[in-house]
Amino acid sequence: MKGLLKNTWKNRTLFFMALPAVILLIIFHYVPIAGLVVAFKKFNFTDGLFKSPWNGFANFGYLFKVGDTAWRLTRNTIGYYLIFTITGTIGNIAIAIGINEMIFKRAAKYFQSMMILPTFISYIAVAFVVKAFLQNEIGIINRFLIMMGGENYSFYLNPRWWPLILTLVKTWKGIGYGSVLYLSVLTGIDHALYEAAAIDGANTWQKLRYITLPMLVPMVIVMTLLGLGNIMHSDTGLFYQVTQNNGLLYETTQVLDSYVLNAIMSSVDFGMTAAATFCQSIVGFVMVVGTNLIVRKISPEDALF
Amino acid sequence: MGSKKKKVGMGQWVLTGSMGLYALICLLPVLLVVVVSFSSNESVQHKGFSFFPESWSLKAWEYIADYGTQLVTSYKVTIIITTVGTALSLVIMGMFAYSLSRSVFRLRGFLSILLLVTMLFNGGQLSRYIIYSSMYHLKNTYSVLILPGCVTAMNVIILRTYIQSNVPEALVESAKMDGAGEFRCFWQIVFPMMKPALASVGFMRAVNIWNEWQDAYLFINDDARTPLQLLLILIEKNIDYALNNAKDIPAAEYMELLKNLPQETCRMAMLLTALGPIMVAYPFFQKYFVKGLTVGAVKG
Repeated sequence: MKGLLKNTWKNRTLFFMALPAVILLIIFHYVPIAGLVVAFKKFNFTDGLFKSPWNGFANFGYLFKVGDTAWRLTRNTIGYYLIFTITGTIGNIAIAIGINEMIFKRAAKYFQSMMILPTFISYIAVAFVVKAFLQNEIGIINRFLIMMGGENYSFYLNPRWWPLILTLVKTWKGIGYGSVLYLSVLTGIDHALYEAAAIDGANTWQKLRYITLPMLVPMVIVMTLLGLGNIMHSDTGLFYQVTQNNGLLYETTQVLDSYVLNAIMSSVDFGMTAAATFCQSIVGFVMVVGTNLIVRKISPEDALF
Repeated sequence: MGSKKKKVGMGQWVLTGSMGLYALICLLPVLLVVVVSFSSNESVQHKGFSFFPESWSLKAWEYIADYGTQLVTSYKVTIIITTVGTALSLVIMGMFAYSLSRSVFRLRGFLSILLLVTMLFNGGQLSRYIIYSSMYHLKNTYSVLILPGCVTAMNVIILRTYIQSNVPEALVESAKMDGAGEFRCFWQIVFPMMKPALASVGFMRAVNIWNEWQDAYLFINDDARTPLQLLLILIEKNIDYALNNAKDIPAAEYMELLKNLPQETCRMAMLLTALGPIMVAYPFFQKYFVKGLTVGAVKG
C-alpha cells in the first residue's frame, strides 16, 4: 500500500492526466449507480433522491400487481434480444462471406461502404423514412397494396406486423457494420487451407462448410457472450422513435427501456419504474459476470476480466 | 481466389449481383429522402412517396431558407456540441489511455478496473435522469449534451491498445532520458502517433453526438439549445398534435391548418440537412474506423 502511494506520487503527472476521465466516470456513471436506491424510496422531486422517505419493497409490489405489463415488457425485451441476435449473426456472417468471396475487390469495397452507411443514420431519421414507407394512403407500401388491387393497411393502428418491421429495420441498420469484424477474421484465414482442400477436390460449398464456417465459430461465441450483458437493454431509438411511441402498438413493441423513457417523459409515478430499472440493472450485471465466468472456462484469453 | 486468369463463373455474377442489390437497398432510404425533398408537394399528396415523382419542385428548400431560423439555431447547437464534445473526448480519453499504457504507473491496475466496471453495471435511465436533473441541475445546458458520454470504456480500451501496440515504450523512455516530462511525452510524441486511432474513435464519437436525441429529449426544452435531432422530433410531434386537436374545427379552417403545416417535402428537406454532413464526412473516415473496430476486438 505504501509502495503504491509512493509510486503514485512519483508518477503524479500520470495521475493528473488520468484524473479528468476518472472524475467524469464518477460523476456521470458511479453516482447514478448509487441512485438505484430510488427503487426503495417513495420518491418526490421536492425532497430529492436521498431525502425522500424510504418505502421498503413496496415499489416491487407494484411490479407484481401490474403483472400483465411486467410480463409483456420482459417478454418483448428478451424476445427481441433473441431475434436480433440470431438475425444479426446470420446477416453479419452472410455479408462478410459474400464480400470476401467476391472477385471484384474494388466493387466489394464500394458495396461494403454502402452497407455500413445505415449505421450512421440517426433513428430519428430512420423513423421518418419508415413512416414514408408505412403511412396510410401515401406510404410506399400502401401505394403498392392499393395498386395491386388490395386495401390500405393501417400499420400504425395494428401491432401485428411490427416484430417483422422492427427486425428488418434493425438488421438493415446493423449488419453492414457488424460484418466488419467477421470479415477481418475471414481475411486472416490461411489461403493454403483452401488450396489444400481444392487439391483434395473440395468444391466451393464444401470449402465454405468445412473451412470458413468453423473458423468463424469462436468469433460468434465471443460476440454472443459479450452481447448477453445487454439482454435487458434495447435501442430506444428503435422501440420509441420508429414506433412513434404509439400506444396501440405497445403489445408487440414496448420494451423495458422505452417503457422507462415514456414514464419519465409523462412523469407518471416513478415507483414501479424505479423497481423495474433496478431489476434491469441487476439482471444485466448477473448476465455479464455469469457470461464472463463461462467465457473464462471455454477460452480464457477472451474473458473480459 | 483472386487470380485474374480464371474465368469469372456464373456464381460470381450471382454473388456480385445480390451483394450489389443489397448495397443499393442500404442506400435507398437516403435516396428517397433526397428525391422527396425535391418533389412537389402535390405529387406526394397525389402519388404518395415515390422515387419517381410526377413533378419536381424547389418549394421545400425555399420554405426552409425563408423560415428556417430555428433550423439555423439548431445547426449551430449541434455543430458546437459535436466539435467541442469530440475534441474534449479525444484529449481526455487520450490522456487516460496514455497513463493506463505506462507500465511504471502502478495505480493503472485499479484505474482499469474502475473503467471496466462501467461496462458491467449502470444505474439505468431513471436514476440517471433524476440525478442529472435534480442533483446536478443540468437541464438546458450544453454540458448534459457533451459530458456524460465523454469517456467510454470501449473507446479508452481502443486507444490504449493502439498505444501499446504502436508506440514502443523505449521511445517514451528515451524521451524521458532527454528530460521530457510525462505530459510532454504524451502531447508531443504519443498523441501525434495515435492519429489513426484518434480518427476512428473521433469519427464514431462525432457521429454519436450528432445523432444523439435521447438526452436532448429528456433534458432540453429551450429553443436556443435545441439540437437538430430534437428539432426533428418536435416537428413530427407538433404535426401530430395539431392534427389530433383539429378534428372538431370547421373543414375550411382544417384545410388552412393543413396548408400551414410543414409539408412532407419540407420535412424530408430538413431531414436531409441533418443527414448531409455525416454522409459527406463518412467516406473520408471509413478506412480509419474499420481499422479501429478491428483493434477494439483485440482484447487489451
